[in-house]
Amino acid sequence: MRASALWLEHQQLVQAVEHHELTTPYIVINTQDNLILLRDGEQVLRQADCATGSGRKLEGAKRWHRWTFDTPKGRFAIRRKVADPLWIRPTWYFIENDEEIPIFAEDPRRFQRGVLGAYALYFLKDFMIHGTLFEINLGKSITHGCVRVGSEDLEYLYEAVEIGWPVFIY
Amino acid sequence: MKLLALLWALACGASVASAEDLAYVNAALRAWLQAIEADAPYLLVDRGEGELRLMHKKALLRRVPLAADSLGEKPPVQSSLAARLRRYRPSSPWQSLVPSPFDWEQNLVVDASATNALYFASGLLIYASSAWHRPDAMDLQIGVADLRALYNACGPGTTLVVLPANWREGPQ
Repeated sequence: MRASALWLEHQQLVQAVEHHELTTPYIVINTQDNLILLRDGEQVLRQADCATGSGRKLEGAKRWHRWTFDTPKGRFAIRRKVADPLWIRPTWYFIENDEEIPIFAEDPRRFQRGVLGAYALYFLKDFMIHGTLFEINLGKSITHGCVRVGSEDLEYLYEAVEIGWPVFIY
Repeated sequence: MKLLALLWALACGASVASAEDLAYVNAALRAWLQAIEADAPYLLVDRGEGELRLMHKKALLRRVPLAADSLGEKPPVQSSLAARLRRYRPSSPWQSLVPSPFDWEQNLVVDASATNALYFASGLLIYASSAWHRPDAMDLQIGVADLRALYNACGPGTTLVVLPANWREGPQ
């Protein structure tokens, strides 16, 4: 190939690479070091400790009562933001605490308000970034898969992050 | 006359070298574009910045400074993770680094230790412990915390792209 054609191709490739720049800031969750970052390009807008999935396994009496408490990895997006979120206790909660599992989804024993902190940012149907009553556990792999952050950082994220912004978890 | 011939030969040699370098840079950029479009986490070695990056599309997930870069002048621009190695085997250090089916340790533990390494199909090796260093081999040394994170984050088949130092401007 002639040098001029190579230079032309080079310019086109550089432009193509730059064209793929993300158009919005994005959240990065580092499950190895339990850190959450809000980035804009390469710039860090906010960095905070968080808690992520423990990787622990739990089995109940039934064949389908099997869980691995991992935070999912990959690319997601903020689906919805909720203030004063309601926790709908999953079945594993009752098994873990050796309590009777309510048969009906509407059973009041399944609902609790206040334990998820002031806000929740859903990045999957059942997974969210939320607060915690026990901030001493931030920085540890301790959750059932959700991402817990401290109350100040949660408020910042709730205010700053918009629905649709990407969430990258590794 | 001899001087003119010498200058002509030098100019031709330089332009051939420059075209080769430019073709190499372009190949690296094509590999990077492919990795961006694949929508999966990948590793990018930016030799100009002296760092390795874990990326997904153009999002920067982790910045890893390189403690040592022994890739040579023009390593392959693209490769994929062939194996996550758990231990250095001093009994046969120059043979294949890929674990055998009888490497029981390989299948027992998921998380990385400080002495693990990432082995790529091109022969490139990423490690933290200098026990893995082989003379004349393509390898990158990084910190222990970074190795652990990359070991856990990168599954087999993860793409690695090597960007030359002058990728934006082209060869000078």
